[in-house]
Amino acid sequence: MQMNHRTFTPVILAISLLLCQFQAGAAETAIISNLRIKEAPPAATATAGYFMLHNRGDSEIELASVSSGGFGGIELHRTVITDDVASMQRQDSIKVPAGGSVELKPGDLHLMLFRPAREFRAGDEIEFVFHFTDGAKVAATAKVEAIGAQPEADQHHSHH
Amino acid sequence: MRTKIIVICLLAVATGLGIYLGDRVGDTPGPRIEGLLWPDPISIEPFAVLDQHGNPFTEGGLRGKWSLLFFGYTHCPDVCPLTLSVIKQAYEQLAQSGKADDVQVLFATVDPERDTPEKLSGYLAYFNPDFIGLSGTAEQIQNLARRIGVVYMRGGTEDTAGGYLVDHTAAVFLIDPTGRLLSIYSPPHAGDAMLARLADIRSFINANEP
Repeated sequence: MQMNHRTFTPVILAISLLLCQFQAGAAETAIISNLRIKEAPPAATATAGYFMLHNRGDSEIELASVSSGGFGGIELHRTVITDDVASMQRQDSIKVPAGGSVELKPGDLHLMLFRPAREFRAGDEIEFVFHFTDGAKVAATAKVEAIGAQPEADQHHSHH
Repeated sequence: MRTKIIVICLLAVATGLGIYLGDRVGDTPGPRIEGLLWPDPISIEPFAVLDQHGNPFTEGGLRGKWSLLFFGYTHCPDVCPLTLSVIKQAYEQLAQSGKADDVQVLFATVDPERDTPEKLSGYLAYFNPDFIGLSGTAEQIQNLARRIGVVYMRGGTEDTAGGYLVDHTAAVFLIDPTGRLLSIYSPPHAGDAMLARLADIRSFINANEP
């Protein structure tokens, strides 16, 4: 068989696609949904962000950090309440098992956002990039919502 | 004649017994009200802090109204705005039905170093201009916290990019118009439950302390 570009190209394509399957990391499998940032009251230095992170792949993914042009600093934290005392524990990363999902929600895991580039108001949209330990970067758009926006104000579904 | 006297005496005894027993039954309410500190509510000892306008605020400020008191700080992005939001919704629901005239909401800072009265003013106005902010010197806040039974400390974990974190009691305290701590709401907080308990406790107090 004569090896010219006509046969070569599809072969290369096939091999690439095959390789892509093996390297299907977070870029392919991470789904970020319902990303929202809470409007910050005046004089508040930090505000919170919440979202659902779903892993539709067949291997674990690990969210290492989040960045945005809208904020100078973003950290992952978890609110822990023990005997009525609330504390925040910084998280190095968030792991999501294959086929699983992790929800960042009020009173629980959340993004802590500092040094806003400007004052954000309900209805604004901000771009974010989610960085995974396998090198993948996934972009998502957040909506800014008012603090009283449902369902955060009603914590009934937080009861377990 | 003697029969009549006996009958009257028996009636008197029966009435006396009835009143006595009725009184005893009143001491133990049928349905127990969750979280009600009774019959030994905590009397709040004197304290002196500043409100968000920089004016003195003492235990006298707790008289005449039912108070919902929460401790937090403005650098807290999750629990504090969330709780204030729940309280705000509950308070506004009361106001809508004209029942908020004798209810006040207080937010005391556990971080007086960064949360000055001025800072609290701007922060609380965002939720509801009726909300009262309490700040002061570290000592004044420590004293207030002690009176209520609130604990707070700088977070054990490393400082974050936004500055230090403060672990703090996240309960909401219900204080009656005579300045007694009657109930402690444990987190997580829900507006409906908060209002229901407030209504139950108000009825109970009115019935048991006319």
